[in-house]
Amino acid sequence: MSSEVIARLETLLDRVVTRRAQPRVAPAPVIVAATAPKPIAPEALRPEAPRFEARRPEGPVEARKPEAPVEKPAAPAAELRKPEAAVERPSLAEPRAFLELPVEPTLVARRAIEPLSTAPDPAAESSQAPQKSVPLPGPARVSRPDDRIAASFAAGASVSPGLGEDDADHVETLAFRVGRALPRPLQVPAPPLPVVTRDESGERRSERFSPALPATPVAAPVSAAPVAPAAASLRSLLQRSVALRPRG
Amino acid sequence: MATRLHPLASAVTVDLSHGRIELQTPSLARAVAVPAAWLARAVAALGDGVDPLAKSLAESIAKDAAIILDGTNDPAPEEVAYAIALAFGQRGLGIAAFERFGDALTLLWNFPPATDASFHRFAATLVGQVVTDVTGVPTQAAVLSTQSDGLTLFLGAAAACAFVRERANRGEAGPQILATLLGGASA
Repeated sequence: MSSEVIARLETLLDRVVTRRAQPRVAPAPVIVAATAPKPIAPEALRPEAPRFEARRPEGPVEARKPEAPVEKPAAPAAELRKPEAAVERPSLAEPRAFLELPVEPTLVARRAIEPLSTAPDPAAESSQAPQKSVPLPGPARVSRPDDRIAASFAAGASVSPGLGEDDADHVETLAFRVGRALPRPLQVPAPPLPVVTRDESGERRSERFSPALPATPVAAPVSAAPVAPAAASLRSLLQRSVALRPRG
Repeated sequence: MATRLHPLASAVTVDLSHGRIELQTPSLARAVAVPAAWLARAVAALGDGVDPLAKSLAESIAKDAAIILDGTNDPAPEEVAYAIALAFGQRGLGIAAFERFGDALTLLWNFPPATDASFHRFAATLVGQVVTDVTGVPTQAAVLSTQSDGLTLFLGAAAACAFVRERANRGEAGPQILATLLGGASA
């Protein structure tokens, strides 16, 4: 392959990578009529075959084949296209649709949308408003996504381009990859616990001992940790209560 | 030493064709179920002679509680409360819990057969004997306060119980009685 073809393939592949890194927002339909002088091969229309079948369930199987008037490039495209074909063509050019296709149909679809122009199509950019913040890489600035993310972080961004604030895990991963820690919320130091010296004999607080299952047979199958002894047995509490004497 | 849980399954069998209620407990083979109001009337009719009945009932309750505790050495208040409450509940006498106010220890008897004054002596004798038999500490009890569905009994020595009983009969509130008792003890 020539260097021109290789450069073109690299450009297209980099665009695909860039679009996969962008958030999946509902894309605006791309107008194809103005930039579709070349016919589309019948293989590129195969994903649309179920739509024809759903529309004409009573038709024979042969009717599902691509219709010839749609594909013939001899006549002017605007005159020969049927209305239904004109409605379906933009769905083929949806960015999400061609992202799901394998590499070869993607190239065909990209060729149909943008006729191998090195500069970004201004019409396509204006129709994709949510993706305007991400610069499309041209042939002069071929860079990896990690490099752009690192540059974004170096510029002061707290979230990598194309990600929302709720993509915390992904942001953590990217921050780890670029070697820069994310800003953490300020941690207010907890006040020190008060030191209390308890005088059990003079303590006046109340405490209820409701019926409870013994901890030993219940905790033994769950954990092998030693069971903490009770703070005070009933016998000791009872002895202190029996020791009470009324005044006088 | 592990505490053996008392079996509750098939503990009570109601035989309506023979008019009998069988208790599948080690201590009792047969019981007669009577309404709680009848027990309260019988206790009120006995008057001062209620102590033998209360001590006899306390003996069987303490025996069941000891079986439930299964020889646990120096059990916690919650464990004793569980054992006594289960022994009470198997007889339809309600449930019990302990509560501590400073050094004063009380027993909350919830859902007893009766809460009126004629039941107080029976309740105090029964609870005092049960606690004595279960813990081995000679203890008496006195009704400290009365709620709509429960009694609060002070556990202590005879002199302190007499003090509590005398103050409670004058209509003094339970917390105030305990505050007075604890103030005297600390003085």
